[in-house]
Amino acid sequence: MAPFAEHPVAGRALRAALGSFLLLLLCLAAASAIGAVKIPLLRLAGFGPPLDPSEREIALRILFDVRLPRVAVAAVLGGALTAAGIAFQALLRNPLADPYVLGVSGGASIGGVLALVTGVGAAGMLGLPGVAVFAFLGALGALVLIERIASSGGRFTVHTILLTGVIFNAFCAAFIYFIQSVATLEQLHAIVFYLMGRVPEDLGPAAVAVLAAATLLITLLLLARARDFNALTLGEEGAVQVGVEVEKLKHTTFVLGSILTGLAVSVAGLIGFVGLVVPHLLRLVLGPDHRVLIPAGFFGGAAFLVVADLLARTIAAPGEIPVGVVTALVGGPFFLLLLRRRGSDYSFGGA
Amino acid sequence: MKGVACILEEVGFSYGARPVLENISFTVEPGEVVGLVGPNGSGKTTLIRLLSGVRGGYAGSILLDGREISRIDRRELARTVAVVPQESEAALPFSAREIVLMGRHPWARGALFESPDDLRAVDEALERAGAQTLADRNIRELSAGERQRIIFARALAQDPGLLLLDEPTSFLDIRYQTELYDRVRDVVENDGVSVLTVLHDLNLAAEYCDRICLLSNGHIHDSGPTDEVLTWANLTAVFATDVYVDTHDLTGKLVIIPLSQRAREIIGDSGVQPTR
Amino acid sequence: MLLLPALLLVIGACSGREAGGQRGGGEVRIAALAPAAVEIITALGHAGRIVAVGDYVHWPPATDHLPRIGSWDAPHVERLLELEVTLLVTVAGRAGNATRERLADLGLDVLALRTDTLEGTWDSFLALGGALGARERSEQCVRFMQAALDSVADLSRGAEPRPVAIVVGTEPLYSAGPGSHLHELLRIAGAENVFADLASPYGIVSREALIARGPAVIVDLSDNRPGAPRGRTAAGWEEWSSLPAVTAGEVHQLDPDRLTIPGPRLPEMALLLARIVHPEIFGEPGENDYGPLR
Repeated sequence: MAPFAEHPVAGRALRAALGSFLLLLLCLAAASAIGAVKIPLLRLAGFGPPLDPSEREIALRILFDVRLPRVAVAAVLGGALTAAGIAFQALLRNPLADPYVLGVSGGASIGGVLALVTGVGAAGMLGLPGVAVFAFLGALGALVLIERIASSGGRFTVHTILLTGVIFNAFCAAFIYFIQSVATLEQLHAIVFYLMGRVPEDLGPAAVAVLAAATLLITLLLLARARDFNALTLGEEGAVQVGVEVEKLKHTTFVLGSILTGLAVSVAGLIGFVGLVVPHLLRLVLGPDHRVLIPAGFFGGAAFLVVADLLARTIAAPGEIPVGVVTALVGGPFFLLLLRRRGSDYSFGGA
Repeated sequence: MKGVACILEEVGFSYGARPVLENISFTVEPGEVVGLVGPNGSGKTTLIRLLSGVRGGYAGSILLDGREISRIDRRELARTVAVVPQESEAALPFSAREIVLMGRHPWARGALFESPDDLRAVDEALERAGAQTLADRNIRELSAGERQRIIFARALAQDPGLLLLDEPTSFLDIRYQTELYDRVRDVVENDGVSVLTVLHDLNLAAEYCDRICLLSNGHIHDSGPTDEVLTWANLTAVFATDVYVDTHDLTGKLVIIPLSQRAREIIGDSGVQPTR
Repeated sequence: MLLLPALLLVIGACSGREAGGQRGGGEVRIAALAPAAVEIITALGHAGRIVAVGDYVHWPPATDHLPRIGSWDAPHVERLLELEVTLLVTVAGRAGNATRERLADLGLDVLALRTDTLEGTWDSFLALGGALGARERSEQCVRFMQAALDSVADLSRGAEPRPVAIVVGTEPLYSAGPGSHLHELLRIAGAENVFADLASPYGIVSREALIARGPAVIVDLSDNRPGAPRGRTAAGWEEWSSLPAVTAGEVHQLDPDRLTIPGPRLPEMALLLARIVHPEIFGEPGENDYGPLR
């Protein structure tokens, strides 16, 4: 550990990663216990007075069939969206970047909406809901298309990527509006709720495991490039001059971030704010070094969405609020508060 | 740090159809400071870009220690060549030390964190750049002069054989100008590093450079020892303006004064001819 | 079951039967945008005055040949004028004020009905009765329907109320709460809505709430596609095997039109729900009670 002790950042990175991981565990525990129904985790585990059989039966049912799968998915989604947000903000060097700005979410939305409207894959494919599979295919299609278009000028500049993504998103939105205008009431209902963003409850344990593994793997790949992201603060030319393969980094980051986003949107629709606000929150508290941000972001973002989902399903019980509403209503003001307190220290490009 | 010889032979470059450099041939030897001088738009910054590997696709040959630059991979190139630009971005609020640490990037062997050797190299670089006191400050809060010192330290941390300076003192006051170049000469003399510096300030060039390469419209107008290149004839031809060139009595270095309209009238009236 | 024929008689007393209202002769020409509006007007005997219907209307069959002129809040104004419509009947809240004003400028009357509750449905009957010059008949209809509902309520009162969940949508799970006619019908049918504490007439409910509240009966109105499962079947509810309603075979899947259009068929709806919830009193629902209206 000696090198870590002296390195100005290593100690902080380790502490941040551990701290956020513990926070996540705490949130997972809380989210498992609290909901439309209170689940007495401790009593189930054997601490305290035992439950009678029917109570126990129901509690276990809810815990394993509904609660845990949902909480696990919320954690994975939160981690994925935050990691993607951090990656895109590094790539674009723009504080307004969120995982959806580069157009992949548009492709995923179109894939999902088309699946909903045509009823294709309604019975599920490979153990996954058909809508999710088609949405992911849409995301991949968008990824390839946008990369081709943005690279066609020869240089894969930040400006071009952003512009292409924004225009592509606008096109997808228009197409979806068109579909909505000719859809039946029931289809409309389904489309609106799909796009609004919800933590899905119907993914089997295998699907959740695959999702978690993929997300973790891609985040690790991003972490491996953390030093390169740091170097981008010197500008693209400056980064090249310290030996960073900037062109390759841009392509790779775009692809990795887009896959993360594609996975999240396919499964859950457009849950907003997580990928925009959590990275900024963490940067305010932990500083700009990506070796600290990426692990803390993954666990912290997971905890954030787990809590947001917890609120979404308890505030209006037995009813539910879409989780995207909660992330915006909670995340926004909290971030503004933090910005006011630390505003003078916080800077991200520009002034 | 050991200096690396840089040999340019008939180098040419165009931005699209527009030729920017043509038939450039000169060398930078270890242990010397070569000044790259010329009017705006004469291709100086482009040349720096070619030498640092930011731009490729040049005609001719650029050799670093006998190897063609276009065949050296980016990371290895960054271990040999370091650049101190005119001004630098610092988008995120890293500390000065962390910025200098980024200079160790080309030496990383896939590790996520820099090694103790890297940390030592950074301390050394900070000292040689005279920036130890700035180490823990936020880079975005430093003045222009302070920031350039940090960027210089970062370049030193790269342990380069060739140091490229692209008008590094344009935005600095005279104290920082001389301070920076004093330290550059220090590094050159102690470690034998090769230095190529782009300069607008001809007096600084005269003071600090061993040799000058004078560019005009993408071509070399003249190149050789400083005193032989910075002549009245060369300068008036290349810069299309009148200058006064003389040798300073005390320092023995050239003094170059661009002549204002008023000055030209006075000299013209009195009939005194400029000496060089 | 002596009361059943009485009930049927009462129900029959207010179903659609043409009672005048010649096409082209009367002054009132109606565009009925909401399915409920069409049924009420038909029950009042003035179906002949309807010259255009909304896009989502497909009952009764007599309206099949009529032109479709838009959704609840966006009727094709040009078509309305072309068909010389004098009265637009829609559901409250759907017709935007701007549209209403514009139509008023063009000489059209707009009647916005509130049919979300039973109370609202009675008011709608009376309002339409007034607009069509069939005031007395509308009052008669309302009295008969109220009496029919009271009869059902009387009969079901003797039995223990059973916990029931009405599912109007899946993905997300949607149910009905207080403020919806479905909630009121459940009470009349001798059932207890497990989501009686829902904050809105219709809202998203969580899966775990459904599991925790373990309804004895589930009425599934979520699927309106032609080939959807109908009848007393747990098809599509396999994941919910932990629910008592599923294991006891008490999942009833109906065509939504059967229960979701409040209007003259309210007594039939109450009876249908009562049969589902208390077959020991009202008899089992018939096979044909689950499918589309026809």
